[in-house]
Amino acid sequence: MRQVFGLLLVGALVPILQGALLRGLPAALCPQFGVLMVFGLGLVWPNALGGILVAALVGVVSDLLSSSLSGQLVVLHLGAYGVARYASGHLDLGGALPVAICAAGFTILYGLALFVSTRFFLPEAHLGWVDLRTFTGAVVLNGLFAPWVVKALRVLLDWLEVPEFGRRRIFLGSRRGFP
Amino acid sequence: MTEKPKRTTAALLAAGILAAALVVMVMDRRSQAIPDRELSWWSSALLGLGVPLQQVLAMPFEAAGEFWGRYMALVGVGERNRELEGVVAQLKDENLQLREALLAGGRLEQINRMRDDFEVPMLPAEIVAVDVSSWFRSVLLGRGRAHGIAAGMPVISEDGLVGVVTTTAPGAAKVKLLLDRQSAADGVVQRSRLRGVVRGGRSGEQLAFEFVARGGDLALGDEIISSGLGGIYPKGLRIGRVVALPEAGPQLLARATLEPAVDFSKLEQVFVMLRRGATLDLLYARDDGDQPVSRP
Repeated sequence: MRQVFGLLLVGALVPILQGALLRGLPAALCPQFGVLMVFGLGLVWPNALGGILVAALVGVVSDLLSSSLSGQLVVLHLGAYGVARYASGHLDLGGALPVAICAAGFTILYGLALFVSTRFFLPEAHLGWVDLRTFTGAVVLNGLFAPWVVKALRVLLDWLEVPEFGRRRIFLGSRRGFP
Repeated sequence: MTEKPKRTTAALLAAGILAAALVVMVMDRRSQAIPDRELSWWSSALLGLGVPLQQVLAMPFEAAGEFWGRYMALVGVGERNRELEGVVAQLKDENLQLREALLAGGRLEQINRMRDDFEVPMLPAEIVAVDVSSWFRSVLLGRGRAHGIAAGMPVISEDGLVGVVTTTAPGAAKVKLLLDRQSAADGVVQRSRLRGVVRGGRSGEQLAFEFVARGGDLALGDEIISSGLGGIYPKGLRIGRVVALPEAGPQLLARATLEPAVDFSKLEQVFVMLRRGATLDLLYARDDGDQPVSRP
């Protein structure tokens, strides 16, 4: 429960922090931390119920701070969480490089989903294809930052874990050098 | 809880949230046709909490930017100052000549009376956050409904047109920038009066001047201003400058690229024109007391 509340708080703060960051940084140089957080949760947090709630909250706050249709980013963040969970169950994402590659692919999927949903719900907006440089920048940046975000989430989850009282840690080791 | 009921609960929760989000999306889509863009109480409450937080979080970045602007980026300011002094002197001279010409024609009094009619109260507002999605272009202002801002009001800066207010909360307002692909403003070439529609460009940094008659009088460096048609933006606001002409083709209508008059990346403070265009006023005015605000 402590992890759920803690991550809900962080999930609400991440889009706000990103909005503040974007005041000083050009959009092309700022990773999408909300999307990366949802991606990371899908990879490292086994609590599906909590993950769904956090992904939905990140989507709600992002919707509030964006000119997207209300609910659009909620749907996309939930979808992103589902894809990340599926990937964590079916792919070997042990090291930083696989996580980075997966995050880059994940960003492409997310961008396509955003494009398709906007085109479908707002056909009068006459959306053209996004500039390739901007899109490539987002893919590369998200890929570069994903391992760090995953690492930070692991640390946060460990920190938020409720200690089990009455149980002592037992360190098992061999004096004879056996594994 | 065992594994299977947990999975079922998670699936049901996801389905419930998805369904609710889809319903909200459709409702929001419908409300764009009949706009009533005041945020719900819970959204207003979230924004009310988020806006001061964002102001605090943005402080270090602002301080760094200010430091850079004040002390580091001053190289060449002296030269630039001399250059601008020359331009000011030239403009003063030109202004004097134009006033003389108008006086000679007896039209200065008439123009002064017209200007009084067009005076619009302006509210300065600080930008507290930028759109978190890379696809859309909007900003959040630190002032909202409580300060007299309503959806549909044009937003400008000292350089030109910025965008339009789309949603409001008591202490915040969301502004859709002209750079957003969903934005559209009717524009006119100041020199030749050629008309077209200005939209957000693909790169998210430039504007597109669309539906321009092919073969029309359009040249590189031409200034585009708002035409006043469309009922959202007043006439005569600077929009941008032509930087790329339409490519040759068989189509009747062409598309040029504009450099926005406003540097959106350095935008910190804007002015909300506290008067809506007549068309938007008709759309936004409701039966429950939301009075038209197109006339002071």
